[in-house]
Amino acid sequence: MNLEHLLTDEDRQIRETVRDFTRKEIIPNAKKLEADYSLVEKVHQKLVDLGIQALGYPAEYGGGDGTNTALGIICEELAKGDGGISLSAGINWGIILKPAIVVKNKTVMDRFIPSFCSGRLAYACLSMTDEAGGADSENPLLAGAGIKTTARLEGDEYVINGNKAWPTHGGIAECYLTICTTDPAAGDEGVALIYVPKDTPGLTFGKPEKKMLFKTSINSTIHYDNVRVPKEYRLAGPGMDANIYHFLESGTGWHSATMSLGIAERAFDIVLEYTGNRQGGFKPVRQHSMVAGIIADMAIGLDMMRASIYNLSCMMDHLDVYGPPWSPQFISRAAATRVFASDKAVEIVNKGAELLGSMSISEDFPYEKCLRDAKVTQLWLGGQQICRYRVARGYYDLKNWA
Amino acid sequence: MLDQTSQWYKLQYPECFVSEELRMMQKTLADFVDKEIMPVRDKIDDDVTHEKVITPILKKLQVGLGYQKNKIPQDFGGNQQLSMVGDALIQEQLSRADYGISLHSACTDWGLVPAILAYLSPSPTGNAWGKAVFSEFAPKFTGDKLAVACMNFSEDDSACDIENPMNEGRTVKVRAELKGNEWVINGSKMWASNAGIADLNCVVCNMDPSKGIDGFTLVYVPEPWDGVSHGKFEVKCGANADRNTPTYFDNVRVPKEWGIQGPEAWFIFTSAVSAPMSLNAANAVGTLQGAFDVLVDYTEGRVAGGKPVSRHLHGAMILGEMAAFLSVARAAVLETAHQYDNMDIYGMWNTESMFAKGHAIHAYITRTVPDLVSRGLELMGSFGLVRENGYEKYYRDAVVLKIVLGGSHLGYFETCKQFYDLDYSAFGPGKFKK
Repeated sequence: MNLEHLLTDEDRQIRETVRDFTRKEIIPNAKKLEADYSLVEKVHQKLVDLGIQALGYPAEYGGGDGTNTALGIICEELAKGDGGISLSAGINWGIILKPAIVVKNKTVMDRFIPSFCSGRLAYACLSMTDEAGGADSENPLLAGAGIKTTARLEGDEYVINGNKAWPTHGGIAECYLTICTTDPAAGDEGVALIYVPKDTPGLTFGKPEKKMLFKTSINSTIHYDNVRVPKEYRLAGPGMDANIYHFLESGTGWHSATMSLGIAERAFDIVLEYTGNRQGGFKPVRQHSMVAGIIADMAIGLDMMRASIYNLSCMMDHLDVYGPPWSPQFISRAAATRVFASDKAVEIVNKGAELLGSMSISEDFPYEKCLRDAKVTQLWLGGQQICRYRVARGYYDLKNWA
Repeated sequence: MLDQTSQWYKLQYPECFVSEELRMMQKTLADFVDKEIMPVRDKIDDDVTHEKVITPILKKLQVGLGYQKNKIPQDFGGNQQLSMVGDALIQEQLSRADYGISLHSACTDWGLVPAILAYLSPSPTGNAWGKAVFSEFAPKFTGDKLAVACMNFSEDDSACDIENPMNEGRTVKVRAELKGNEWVINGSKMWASNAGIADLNCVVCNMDPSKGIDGFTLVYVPEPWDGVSHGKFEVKCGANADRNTPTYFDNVRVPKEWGIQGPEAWFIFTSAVSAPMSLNAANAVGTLQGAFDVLVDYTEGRVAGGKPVSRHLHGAMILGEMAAFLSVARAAVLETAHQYDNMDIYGMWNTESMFAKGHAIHAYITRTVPDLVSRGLELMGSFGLVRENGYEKYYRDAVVLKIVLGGSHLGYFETCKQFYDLDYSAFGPGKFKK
């Protein structure tokens, strides 16, 4: 119903394929997947076999030149089954290597992309949030001054030192796009985005975090102790690295919104079915006007989310018209989608829980997973409040508050 | 001023929705709004007689810019402006300055929508009705004097029941009888926008409510006309450029060519009441944009704690929340309007899905905007309450925009109905179940 005219036949085919995959491979096994990561890896390999992983990479490397709209569809559909799987699939699809593709850093592309187009599962990692001062790394008002991980150029190598917390795929990735600063006092000019291969000496990891949600994706701390990489692994250089970093914040925010949507849609489907079968007051629960009002609230929220997300997907696919993507205006537009979708997903899932009563929290019923998973979309990537600063910065010159 | 070359503009009004032609129209109107309405927006609600401020604006807008002939077919000298995206852009721009002015303009359009839908339809009956109506009344709207139309259907009780498609017109109390070559109308309406100042009413009637759709009737009634009278104008908290008053029909006789009856009339009516959903949502977006613009200016200039209010995190949070909703709501409005413009893909206006989509967007946006405008008021403190500071009118207007068009609860039921067979007719569960 939403923006069908913006979709290609290929997009629709992808939607059907991934929807079917989610229905058959993920939803019936959701509980087992949360308990056993080896099963998650098998699901990911099946997605690789379907061509999903390679889809986001350039055709010259064996990829599919996939659009952001296609990725949005994939992540939305997968998130109906499991948010963590959707998160990993989106990251591996190309979000992390997209910056190198955008700036045409051939060294990085040649070094890392083949792994993702080889037909076997490969993980990528955005190593962004610093252990100290967490959200400062993502706060645009600090213009890079909040980044604690340092990169020092020595000869032909960058030497990286610091500690990152919460990166998805920490410890299992092929490459780590590491957000560093060459000089915190230089603000955005000091921002450096450097790709670090796995097995680089000095790169170590903590234990996977035990979380209440997104249990099917792995987060571990990453420690950089004089990690040395060739200077060509730096994305682009001063200025452009910061630009792409800000774009990356938009892109990951949009990715987050697609997961919010999928999780909330799953919650809606469960509520719709349950309230149609459950009797109360001698009729199906959803025939009561109070219940209908809540169901409508949920459906309306989904409509609003879809409109904003796929509108933004289209803009990201046509940056020649809507870019540059690192401007405060673009970041504001993207942040608006993320902040809205995250809040709305949590609201939708919570409202739906009221209609399910205690069934909503039972581990024998699929809804409690929605209750858990939705929450993270408000918390990561700097959280909702910093996201609102990004929105406000599109309208006036909001300064550093520190 | 609306800078259509800016990146902000491109991101807010993507070219997949807004054509070059609509862009030009939007720019012309935006400039008009900034020049003609913005400087006097704080005086509009005090113009009790409408003579000093409101009517001069309406003349420039409706006659000067030609908006009153937007829903007149080209065959009759009108603009035949049928783009719902175009209408959404118009409503947003006008509401950015004054919701009442936008309601006046929109409701003249609305009053003429049934006739133009019928005229452009492939149905010979509908076509003949539209032709008869425009042959008689189009000259008023294409002339050089202000002309006003009114979609007159709400009644003193069961108001939103009339808009409820499940009721199939059975709650309509205004009666139409066909006597010889004339329709004879009796009953009363209330709350219609432009009532009492309209030159032409599209009156929703029923010949026999027990027959539902088969008795449903739409009749155009001009004014002044024998048997048509009105009560006092309602005094409202906001949107006072929009006039509302009861309309009484006492043995009102009009030629039978001005009316249409039965399932075709019902089809036209249900299409016509689906149409404004994305437009009133656009009104809400415009209202929020107007309030936001005032707030950004104020908080940039107002210093507290040694720096502008907008630089405080709490201020930025509220501004960010309003701005985020503006982006999201605008995307939803344009998408929905675009869907109305592409019936070949998304279905007719009165299909269950389109009804649901329009209602969903409308209910949500019109309920959220008042909350956001209210939150924004916190940043201005008592200064926000002062008329000259420009903010309080948006607060008042926002209250009005969420209760029009049957209110949001009807919208909620419509939204549900696309997913399951929800009974919500005025006659109780199961009464109309097919």
